[in-house]
Formats: sequence, structure tokens, C-alpha cells
Amino acid sequence: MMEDIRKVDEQIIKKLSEWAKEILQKAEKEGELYLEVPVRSLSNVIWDEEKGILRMGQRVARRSFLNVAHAKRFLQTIVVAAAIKSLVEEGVTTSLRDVFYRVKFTIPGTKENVVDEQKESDKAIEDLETMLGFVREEFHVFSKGGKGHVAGPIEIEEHVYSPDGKHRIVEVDGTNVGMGGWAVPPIVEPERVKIKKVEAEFVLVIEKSAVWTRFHEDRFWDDHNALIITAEGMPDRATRRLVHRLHYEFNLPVYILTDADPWGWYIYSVYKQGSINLSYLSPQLATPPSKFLGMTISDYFDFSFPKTVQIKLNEKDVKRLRELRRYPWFKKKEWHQEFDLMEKKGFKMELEAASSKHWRFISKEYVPAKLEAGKVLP
Amino acid sequence: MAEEAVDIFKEFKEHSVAEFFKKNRHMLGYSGKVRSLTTAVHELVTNSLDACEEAGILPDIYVKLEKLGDEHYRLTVRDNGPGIPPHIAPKVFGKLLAGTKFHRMIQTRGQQGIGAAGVTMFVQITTGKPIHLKTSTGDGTVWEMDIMIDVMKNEPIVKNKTHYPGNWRGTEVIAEMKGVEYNKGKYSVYEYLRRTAIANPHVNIVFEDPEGKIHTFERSVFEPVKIGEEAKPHPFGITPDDLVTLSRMSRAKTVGRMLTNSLHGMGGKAVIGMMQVLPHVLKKEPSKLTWNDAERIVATFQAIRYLSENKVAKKIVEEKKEDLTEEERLHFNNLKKYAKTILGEEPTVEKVYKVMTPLLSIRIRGPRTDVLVPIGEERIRKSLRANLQPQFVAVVERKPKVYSGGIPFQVEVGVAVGGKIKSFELMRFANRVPLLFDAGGCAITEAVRSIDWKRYGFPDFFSSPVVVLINLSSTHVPYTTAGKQAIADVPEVFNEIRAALMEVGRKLKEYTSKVSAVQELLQKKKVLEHYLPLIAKSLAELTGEDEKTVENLLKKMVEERYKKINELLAKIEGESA
Repeated sequence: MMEDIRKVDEQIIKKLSEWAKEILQKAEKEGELYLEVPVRSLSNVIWDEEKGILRMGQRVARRSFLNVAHAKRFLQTIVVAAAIKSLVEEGVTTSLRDVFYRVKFTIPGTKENVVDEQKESDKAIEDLETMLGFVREEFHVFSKGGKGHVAGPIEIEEHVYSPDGKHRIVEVDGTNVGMGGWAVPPIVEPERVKIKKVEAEFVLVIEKSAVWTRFHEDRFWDDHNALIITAEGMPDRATRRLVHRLHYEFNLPVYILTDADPWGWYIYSVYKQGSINLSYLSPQLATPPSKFLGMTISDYFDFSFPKTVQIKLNEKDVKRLRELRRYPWFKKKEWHQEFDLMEKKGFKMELEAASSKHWRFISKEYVPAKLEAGKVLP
Repeated sequence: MAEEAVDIFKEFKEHSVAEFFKKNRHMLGYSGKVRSLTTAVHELVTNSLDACEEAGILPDIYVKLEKLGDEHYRLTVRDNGPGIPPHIAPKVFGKLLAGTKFHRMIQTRGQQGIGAAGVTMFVQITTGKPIHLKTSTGDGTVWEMDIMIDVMKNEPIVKNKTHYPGNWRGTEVIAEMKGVEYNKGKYSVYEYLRRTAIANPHVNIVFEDPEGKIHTFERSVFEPVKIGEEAKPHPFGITPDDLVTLSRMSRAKTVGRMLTNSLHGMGGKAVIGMMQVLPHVLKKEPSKLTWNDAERIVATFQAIRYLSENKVAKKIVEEKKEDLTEEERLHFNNLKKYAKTILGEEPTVEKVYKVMTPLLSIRIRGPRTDVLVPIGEERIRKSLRANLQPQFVAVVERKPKVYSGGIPFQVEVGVAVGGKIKSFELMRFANRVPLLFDAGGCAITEAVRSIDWKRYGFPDFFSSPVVVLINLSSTHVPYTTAGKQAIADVPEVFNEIRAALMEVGRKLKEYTSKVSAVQELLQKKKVLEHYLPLIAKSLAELTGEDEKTVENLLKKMVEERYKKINELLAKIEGESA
């Protein structure tokens, strides 16, 4: 296992060095010091219908040191690259915030800092990910401590590394976890998270952690032989990556449960197709065969929820709904029927609305009924 | 000034000239301890420069100030001029208002103060001593004498007059004064001489200050200035006072003849035309011309000018129109005012037309403008370069213009920017004489303030390293009444100064655009140079290459990219050279 991570580290160090050498060689030959960075703005995001993911287009921007408008970002990217090299060499795993402080120093001979805000160093790291073809988790950099929680029939070996060279292997049994479940670590790459055995038959992703707790307490995973996962709203990269791995490595169908509002539905699309911001990572993060289990406004009628659960749509909701309508990955008949219904009825609904019936309605009746009937959206 | 001085002087005739001087010293420039000293230097230096110019000599002026006690100084002014013949010298230095130049429309530096005799007077009333004069016309004899003024008779008193053989030409005046103070401020002798040198680049000035420090203002132009030609006054600019004075000196048989002889642009035909309006006045002997007559002549000239300049006015007179529009009424009322003065009574409509009709056909030639002596574009350029060592100089010499209908004037503006100039300075000159005082009330200052300098690339003009030189040349500089230090707000003059400033502004704009282009490039280059070492260090860490080698490679690239800065800089230098 130790060898796995060393191998990745060596590849990264070698790649960084080659990449920097190439920059210098071009400088000598062309008299220009520049980077070629794939464009990450919306204009270069492509909806790949065939693969069912959002992915980055071919457009590349030249960032030249001699162009004063680019010089600072050029500097930031190179300084961050050098910082990452030392990070990988020393075997330290750290957060984006730490990297920010590491490169937030005054440029010698000036009163200017290399970076002033974290988003500058974050962008530099994204530049490096796209230029070098690695994900930042392989650079030993994560965003925040685990957002995700898992419970259900799964056995995992978590490899915890230390810069001192001492590392531990932690065995995880997903059916023998506390109220919080197994906390998804910030990096779930195979060299760190080894999935030993999966007995579950499908994955249920639940938008809200409080609702996830309901399913966990009710031992939904036991009754239905499922893995239940939450990432507390907009999922972090690690949780998305884990769902991706569970589907592609273990062939598990993925069902997603969110609020019946445009924001919840977008979260579904992030698990499924990837996000606009991280379109370059979609091949590693997205799980296009995911299905939407609920909630929908149709469910309101199908399950005869009381009128009191309705929440009137506000202006922002309506605006967001119209944006969803325009996204090509939502251009599906079933979805547009739901959009129409929501706009016509003028309300939205939360997952917790199920409790209006009785405490365990959502885990005991609503979700099982939906699964049974196969009433899912594509 | 001179006219007023004459009037004032008449009033005080029965009293002493000393009293006259004391009562009017503030108007003569002898007010304040610092200013009095500067005025004395001004009078003597002006005399030297005018004399040199008339003789075609390149002036070398030596000025020395010695402190003898508290507010007590000895001033020495020496020149290499033509010298003063010994029999004239006492009048020059010992008789107030001996030779005013006002009746000659000649542009000299004079007219500004009360002349060299004023210095003698000042010396006399502050120390009781004479001035000491040493002069020679270069004929092998040097004259020395002490000169005072007999304050009752306004006549010179000469003492200790000696002469001896000597091969020297020039004039030296030594004057001891009390109640004066020297400093190096903006009203000082030093500043006066510095500016004199700038506006008169053909002059060499050496100044020894009270501390014994020698300041040299070297000449940068080696050709003497040509003296201005004398011009007759123009009818449109003349005043009743001028006419009365003219009449007292005229040898013509009639006033009509006097006008053709003494005024510019007046032909026989014009006088014949005026005869129909003012027959009695024009037939008079000049010596009998009254103030009232003079006023009527001036009103006639003004009416002629008005009719020649206003088409509407001309038309209503031609048609003898009675039913008038609002605009026509305005012109008619103006004509009526002239007619009232000419006739000496409130005129009827009929009479207005009767007076004006003969004036329609009178033509008076425009004034001569070739009598002016500007500094000259090239001279200003050379002088600003030599004296201020700026980075850039722009000069505008406007064509001569006329104000008040008949007085020629000409505006020159030079602007020097950057280089050794550290702060803003406005240098005002009238006929090449520095105007140090009363800057606030001066039309030149007003005109400079009225310009939107932002438009010409100076967001904060009055805090920029800029020297603005403005010289107003005229046969009759329109000073504000109080001193001889500020230009009056005459619309024609004000607008012309503004036009000159805007023209020079456009030249400045070309310069400032190039400078800001260079600054922008330098700024950009600096940014890259700041980033460069850290980038080199990081790239060296990433590649394992030698840091210095990488840094040199990057430096070379930056230099190559910004080599156009040097080209641009060379261009700016080249254009202003």
C-alpha cells in the first residue's frame, strides 16, 4: 500500500519537473515564458450527451509572463507548483487553506504578496490539475475535512499516511458504525481508500444529513441491503468521487434523494453529470447512470401530502428553475413535466415534509414505495 | 504709469519732489523693505539693458549688494553699455521725470517705474547721501561724480565731479540705502535677476549677494536684441490726455494737420471727412486744443471704429432707419452716445444720423504691429533649456494683435517641463521685464488658472514640475492702475494669452502622452522585474536548474521585450532638443 502512494508521488514529482523544464525550453527557443492553461469558464464547458457528463472543451489560454495582465497569475501558478512539489516530496497531506497560507508571503523586494485571497491559490491549483492531468487529491491537497457520511454493508481499508513514514491501516465495517456513520475522508483515491468488499445492492444518496440520520436510525441499509450516503447539501469532491467509484468499481445503481426544489434538483445533476466549475474533473467525479428518486411535485399528489407542506416559490426559485430548464442535461421530457408542474403549482417541498404523515414515513413508506414502483426520473 | 506720474507731479509742483516721492512711493515701487531694494535694482538694470540695446551691445551686467548694517545696504550696478555723456548724466540721475517715454510709442523696458532718478531720490531720503556714478563712453576718459536732487527745484546737484584717462566703457552706479532688506525669496533681487536673465538670454548677469556668494546667469544667445522701431499712436487707441499732450508739443498749424502728422494711419482724406463733423476743432491751433476738444476728437475716432466694425450699425446709418429692431436699437444707442460727446448736447435721431453719415466713408489704416520686440521663439527655447535644464520645452509665439482698437501687443509663452525643474513656477514678463509682485491680480495669472490643464495631460498642473514663461510685449502695456506689476483684465489681451496657452497646451499634450506611454511601460517592466527573481527561484526548484542561470534567461527576455522604452525616450529627448 505504501508503495502505491509512493508511485503516484514519484509520478507527480517527475511530471512537475518535466512540465517546468518544458516551460524553460520554450522560453529559450521562443523568447516567451508562458503556460497553456485549458479554459475553465462556462464558455469552454461542453455537455457530452453521449457520455452524459459535463466536460471541459479543447480551448486553451496562453498565460504569458511578459504580459503584465497575466504576470501575477503566472507567478502564482509557478510558486504554487513549487509548493506542491515540496508537499509531495515531504509526504504531507494538507488543505487548500494551508496551501494558501504557505504561498501568502511577500514577494522579495516588493510590498506585494504572492496571493492575497485563497481563491487565488485555489485557482492556481486548478490550473495545475488541468495542465498536468492529475487531481489535486493526488497532490496531497484537499478542500475541507470530510463532508460525507456512509453506512451500510461495505468493508473498507483506510490507509492513513504520516510524513514521518509511519502509517496505519484502519478497518471499517459500514454496518458497525455509530450515529455519524463512516466519515468519508477528504481523499478517497484508491491508494488511500481501499474498498475490500461490498454486499450492498444499490446506493441511496440523501441530500440532507438530518434525513440521512433518519434512514440510518431506521436501519434502512439493513432492510434494503443498501449503502446510504450524504454530503450535507452540495457534495464535496471526495463524496462524489466515492459514489463514482462505487458505481464503476462495484456496479451499484445510484439513487438520489433531494428536496423538491430547483436547488436540490441541481445537486442531483452535480452527482450525475458533474458541475460547471469542475467540468474538467467530471470523468473522475460524475456518475451519469444515477437516477433521481425524489422528491418531485408529482409525489405531492401521488402521496396525498397535506397542503400545509407547500412552500411558495420565491423569485429566486423561479429564476433558478428557468435556468434548469435551459441546461441541456435537463432537456428530458420527464424533467420538463416536473418543471412545468412546479411552475404551474407555484410551490416547493422539503424532504422533511414526509414527517407530516408520521415520523418514519420517508424511510418506511415513501422511499420503499418509490423503489418498488421504479418511479424515478432520468 | 508715466501719465499718472505726470498728473500727480503737476499737483505737487508747488511742493517739493521729495514730498511727491514720499507720498507716492508705493506706486513707484518703493514699498516694503524687500520690494524697494528690488525696485532700485530694476531701475538701474533696466537702464543698462535699454542703453545696451540701443547701442547694439551684448550686455554684461554686474550687480553687487553689501550689507552695511541693519536694513542698510550698498548696491552697485555696473554695465558694459555705451556710457552716458557727462553733461547728460546729471539729468538722468538727478531729475525726476526728466525724459518720460510715453509720447514715443516705442517698446522699451522703461515706462515701468520712475527711472534712475527715483533711485537717487530713494537713496537721498533714506540715507541723505548722493549716489556715486562712474561712466565712460569709451573715449578714453572716465567720469566720476556724486549726484543728488535739489528737492525744491527738481534739479540735479553734482558734487566731486572728476575725470581721468581710462580705457573702459560703461556705467557704474553705487547707491546706499536704508530701510531695505535682502532675502532670496520670490520677490528678491536674486529672483528678479534670474528672471531677467531668462527673458533676456542675450544678457550676462553676475550677482554678488550680501554673503559674498556669486551667482552667474550666463547668456545663452549671442546676438544682441534689435531695438524696437518708433511708432506713431493709432487713432483708435488714443486718449484725450494723449491728444492734449501731443498738441502742446506739435508744431503743426492746425489740429487737423497735427492729427495726420502725429497719428498712425490718418490720411488727408480722413481729416477732410472729420471736418464735416468737427470743423472748428480741427481748424484750431494745436496749442489752443482744450480737454473738451480732445474728448470730441476721441469720440469721433471711436465712432469711426464702431461703424467700421459693426455691419448693423453701418446699415442703420446708411438707411437713416427710424423704425428699429431691438438689436438695431442697441447699436443706435451706442452711436447716440458718441454723437452726444461730439456735439456736446443730447442729439435728436436726425442729428445722430447727420453726424454719423460722413464718418461712414472714413478709412483709417490698421495699426502697425511690426514695432514690437518679442523675445523670440528660438530665444525662449534656448533660454529655458540653458537656465532650467528641463526635459521638454514647448514655445508659442503668437502673431501681433491689437487691443482697444489701436494698441499692438504680442504674447509669447514658453513651458519647460521636468528635468531639473522640481516645482511649479509662473514667470510673468511685460516687455521682457519680470513681474514679481501682485501675481494674484494679474490677467496673466488668471489666464493660466483658467486653462483646464487636465486636457493637456496635467491632472495637477500647479503641483507639477513646470515653469511657465509668459511675456506680453506692447507699446503700451495695460497695467492695473496700482502698481506696474500686474496686467489689467483687457479682454483682447486675456483671450490672446489664453489662446497662446491652449496652443502650447496642445504641444504639451503630445509630450505628456509620450511620457505617460513611457511611464506605463516602465511601470510594467518594473512589475515583471519584481516578479522575476521569485519565478526564477521557483522554476529552479521545480527543474533542479541553477537559479542564477534561469534568472538571467528571464532578465534577457524582459529587456528584449521592453527595449522600445529606450526608443521612446530618445524620441522625447530628440523632439525637445
